[in-house]
Amino acid sequence: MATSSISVRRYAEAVLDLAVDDNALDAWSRDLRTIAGFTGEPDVAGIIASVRVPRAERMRLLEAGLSGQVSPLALNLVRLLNERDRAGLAGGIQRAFQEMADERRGIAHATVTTAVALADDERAAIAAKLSSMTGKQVDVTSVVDESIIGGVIARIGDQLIDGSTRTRLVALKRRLQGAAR
Amino acid sequence: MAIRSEEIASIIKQQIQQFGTEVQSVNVGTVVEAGDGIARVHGLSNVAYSELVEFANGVMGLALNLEEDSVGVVVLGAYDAIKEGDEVRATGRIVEVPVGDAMLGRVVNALGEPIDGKGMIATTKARPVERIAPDVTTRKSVDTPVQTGIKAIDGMIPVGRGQRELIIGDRGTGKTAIAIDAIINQKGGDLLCIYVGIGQKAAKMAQLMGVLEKNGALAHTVIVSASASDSAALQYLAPFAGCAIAEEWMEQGKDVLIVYDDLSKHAWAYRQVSLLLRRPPGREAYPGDVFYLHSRLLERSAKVNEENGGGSITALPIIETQANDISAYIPTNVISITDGQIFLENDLFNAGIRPAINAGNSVSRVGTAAQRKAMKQVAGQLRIDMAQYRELQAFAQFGTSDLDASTRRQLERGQRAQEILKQPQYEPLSMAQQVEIFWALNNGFLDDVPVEKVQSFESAFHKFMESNKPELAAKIMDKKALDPEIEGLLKSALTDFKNTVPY
Repeated sequence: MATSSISVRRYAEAVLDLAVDDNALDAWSRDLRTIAGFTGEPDVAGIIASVRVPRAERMRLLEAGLSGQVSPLALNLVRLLNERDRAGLAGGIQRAFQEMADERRGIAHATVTTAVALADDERAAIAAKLSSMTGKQVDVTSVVDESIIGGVIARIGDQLIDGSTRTRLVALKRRLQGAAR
Repeated sequence: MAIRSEEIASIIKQQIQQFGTEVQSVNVGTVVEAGDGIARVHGLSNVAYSELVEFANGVMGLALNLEEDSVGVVVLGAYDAIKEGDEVRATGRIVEVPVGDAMLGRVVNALGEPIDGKGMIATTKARPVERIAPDVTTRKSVDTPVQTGIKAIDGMIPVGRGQRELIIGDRGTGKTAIAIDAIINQKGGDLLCIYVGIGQKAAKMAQLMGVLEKNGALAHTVIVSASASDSAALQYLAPFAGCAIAEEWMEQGKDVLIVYDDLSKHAWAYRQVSLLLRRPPGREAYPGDVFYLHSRLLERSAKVNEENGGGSITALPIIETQANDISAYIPTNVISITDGQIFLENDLFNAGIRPAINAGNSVSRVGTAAQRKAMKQVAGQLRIDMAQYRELQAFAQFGTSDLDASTRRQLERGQRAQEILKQPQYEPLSMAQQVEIFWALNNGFLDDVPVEKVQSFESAFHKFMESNKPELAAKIMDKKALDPEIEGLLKSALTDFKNTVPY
């Protein structure tokens, strides 16, 4: 498990280098998504992960599905992966690439949880606030969860900003219990 | 404590009003794997080594393995409610235990929480459990004795304040008994005691607390207990927690005695944690840093110099051997770290020699420097007598009639010395009492007492001295050395005693 996640990162790093050299981050990002989408389809995934299907057969399937859809370089990546029996990593490579590309472009993804649905201007205000806190352009995905009662929980990567009423009530409860003991 | 309900309400009101509204950004991660007291967490990218993390259900964990894309966390507490996908928050704190005088007389777990049902411990201070040991410039060599009250130890293997003296032996040879006697003997003294039980039966811990209480020794003692049913992580932490409690007192210039019972089980707990964290196993499947685990713990025992308060921590680590094998991995490790060892043997125990100390294999590398002058004056001869006796012991099995007079004398002296060194449990003797009886032995006052009557002679003698000559004991304690005057008094006292009771 650990080794495959490391190799995913190595492939993604290599692709990112290529993309930066050619100044084609967006194109690569699109191509990788196409590849990940195709190899992720249940029928296809089963075949390309199987070592009992000859490599050439798998290659034919991948080329038939992807040639014309993606750039020649991206197709080379697919060929290389297949050559090493690692075409199944494509999904992971896409995610790792996206993460690194975002990091490079200064984009952060935040999940903002609120008890009631956010209006557009509220969402923009939160995005602006988070951007100024992190120094990155923050792309906000909002989630509604009534169980947090009120307030906002924002999660950017590993950072969590918890301003929810639920968490505060729990903390207050613990403090009162602690004082009563 | 009787608090009126309005008071409670007003306290709660105050707490609610003052409750912080500030929102902080915390580092979070997600549990990807949990089991056997270990959780593997994805995320937590900024967590520090040994940082406390909090699981969704409020249970704490300790980040011990920081890897490229996951963090290995040992769970401190109940781990059955932790499941995959749970959120884990970093706290920015490291493991701390409450310290201070309020801890005395209490039983706490490895996190310093009371487990004796006597309510909250009112402490104002906490210390991190891990700390770097005092460095050479703040230390000083051992110069004050720890009186264990056990004749065989105080006479032949003396322990000094700041020393680390290992107690090693098979199960059931009386290792814990020695440590308990040493704690009981500190009653009314200036030495505070900490007993750390690691992987012990909870019943044994309860019994121990009862014994200390009955002998009036709980008031100057803290018991840190991580019993056999506590998680391996807590067992791993317990001795460090005990040591942190001791360090607070050492920094205040007080002297502390800490017993780690026992470090073999501590090594087992650490081995379990390490293997579950997938650290590579080494000899006997212990991880490579098991030596460092014990050396960094025992290095924290020290005698610090006057500029730093002059306090000390004396450690009595205990190691349980299997079939007298002191050359196994953990025993050799700890023997090499400590300043000597008290070696207990099954054969001696069964032969009725209790404490079952093997005087030949037991050593104290620094303690003799701390021995009081009076004790030094009598113990030298005792040690020689015992050594000669051990050499000749083999002959004695075939009867002593064929031996020449001087050899027979040595044998008989040795047999009496051996009898004198026997001592029942929970009956520690003061230094003066020990000096008196050793002096009597060295000067031939026991030579005409039959071997089987030596023990009753001794206890009658102590009673006699206590009721008839209490000033002599006071004099010895006062001068801490034997001069011709005291020796003269001792001689006349012994003569008087032997006249009153014929042996």
